[in-house]
Amino acid sequence: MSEAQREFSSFRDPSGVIFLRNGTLYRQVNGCYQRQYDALLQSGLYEELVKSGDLVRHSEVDVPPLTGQAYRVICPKRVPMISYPYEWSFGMLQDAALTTLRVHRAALAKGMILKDASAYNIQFIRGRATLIDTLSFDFYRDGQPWIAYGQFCRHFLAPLLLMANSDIRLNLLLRDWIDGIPLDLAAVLLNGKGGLFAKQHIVWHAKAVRQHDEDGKKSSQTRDLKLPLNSQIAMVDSMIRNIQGLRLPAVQTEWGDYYDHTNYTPQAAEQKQALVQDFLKQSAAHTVWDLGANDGRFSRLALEWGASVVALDIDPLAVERGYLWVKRTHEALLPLLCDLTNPSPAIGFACAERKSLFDRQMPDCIMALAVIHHLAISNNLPLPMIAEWSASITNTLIIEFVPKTDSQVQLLLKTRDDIFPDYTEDGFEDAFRRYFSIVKKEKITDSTRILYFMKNLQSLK
Amino acid sequence: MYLDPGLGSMIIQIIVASLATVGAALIVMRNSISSFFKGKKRAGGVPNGEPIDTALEEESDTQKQEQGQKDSEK
Repeated sequence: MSEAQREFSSFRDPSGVIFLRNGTLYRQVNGCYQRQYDALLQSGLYEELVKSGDLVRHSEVDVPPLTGQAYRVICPKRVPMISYPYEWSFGMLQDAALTTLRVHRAALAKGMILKDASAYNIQFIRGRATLIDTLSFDFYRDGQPWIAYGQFCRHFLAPLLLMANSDIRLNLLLRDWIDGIPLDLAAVLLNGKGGLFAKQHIVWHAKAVRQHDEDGKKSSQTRDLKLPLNSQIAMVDSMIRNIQGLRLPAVQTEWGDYYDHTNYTPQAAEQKQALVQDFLKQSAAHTVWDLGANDGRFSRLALEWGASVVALDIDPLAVERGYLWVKRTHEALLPLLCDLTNPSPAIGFACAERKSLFDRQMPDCIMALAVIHHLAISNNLPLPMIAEWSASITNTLIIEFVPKTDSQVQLLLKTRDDIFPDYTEDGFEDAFRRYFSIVKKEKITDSTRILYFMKNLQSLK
Repeated sequence: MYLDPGLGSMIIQIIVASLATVGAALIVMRNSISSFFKGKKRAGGVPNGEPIDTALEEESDTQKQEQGQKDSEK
């Protein structure tokens, strides 16, 4: 049996630890958490939450634990691709918040609580926001306020209210503040918006934190504060209602109406779709990333071949539309917010607590349709660098070349000097041939664009 | 408890939860008042003190029959 490998991010909570053995993910339940773990299962709370889809299912396994403190080892259902709150659309963050509150509400009814409210404990499985930390439960102590309330406001309410009231891009602040957006900052950015809901949970909350947190360190007052159970339930219910009522303002982002303004005739669009389907079939990929996926229209083609798909796009509304679709269909597709020129880095302690986008999954196939001109021309990325980077993350590539004669490229060049002499069909092929073998090349009817299917030279060895 | 709940967060939670409790009580009161008046209005329409449930059932039966006629006309 191979050596077990501890998951780096699993260090905050002493209740257990996550580790990998032979490529399988396990969670060790420590002896100090035995009573809570047994209560979760015996109270029926586990079964209730798993049935509703709010909690990830697990099985108890007979596998050597990572350390000597183990009570049980469990094997949770694997999440195909881990994602982080700064990569989610508004609706994803909203549903993640609602799952968290529903789980806490259900736990209260069984004499337990959710002891933390970290957005990183929620993951999306087929469009369903699911709690993946089985060890997040504790016993409810009579009159005890919700200990995770502050964390919930920083991780969920602050970004949601900022996205709904100030700017849809403000969830990216979570990338800088790993334990949620500081409430005083959120209060400043809200600038009086968000009504009484924002006032209570953000503005007044920030004031209270500023005034009283130092007092807490001087005495044990925190442990003596009492809140009747029915009041806590009323607060949670009120938060659920208010979060459900949050809406994005009607904004039109750059790519909002993308598919209404493409350069394809209906025949060309049909041909492109057929070609992509054919290339995907040839790739036999289990995991596909669609770069610049918009709402995931082409990403869905990969689902037909049984692949698990990640649809990455820079536009928050396109990602939102993709999510709303998957939420309805429960397909194996995960829409995520991503600026390809500045993708999610590794963050947190030792720059390793939350992994970079590329450390979380190596896709078997990458689709990059109508995106190369944005990388090469809008962002001055040299074609050889794009080719080298593509080869470092995938074995097969479906890529569309959009030449300078294309009206979309013309538009990009209208306001700047053309400093891209190598941005030609030959220049493109030369750059990619260094790392890939071009298996197929097809011109798209009624357009100047070309679709390529390539295989990484390393994978062919 | 491995998280620091923060004294400020606990104090504001007690205030916010108290407001929510009052809000919830008001909602319950509003609902019971409106259902009381709705009930009275319906009860007023029932002839000769006939039990309300029976009257409502008959009403829905009549609606079903009317719907059935409309469907058969289509």
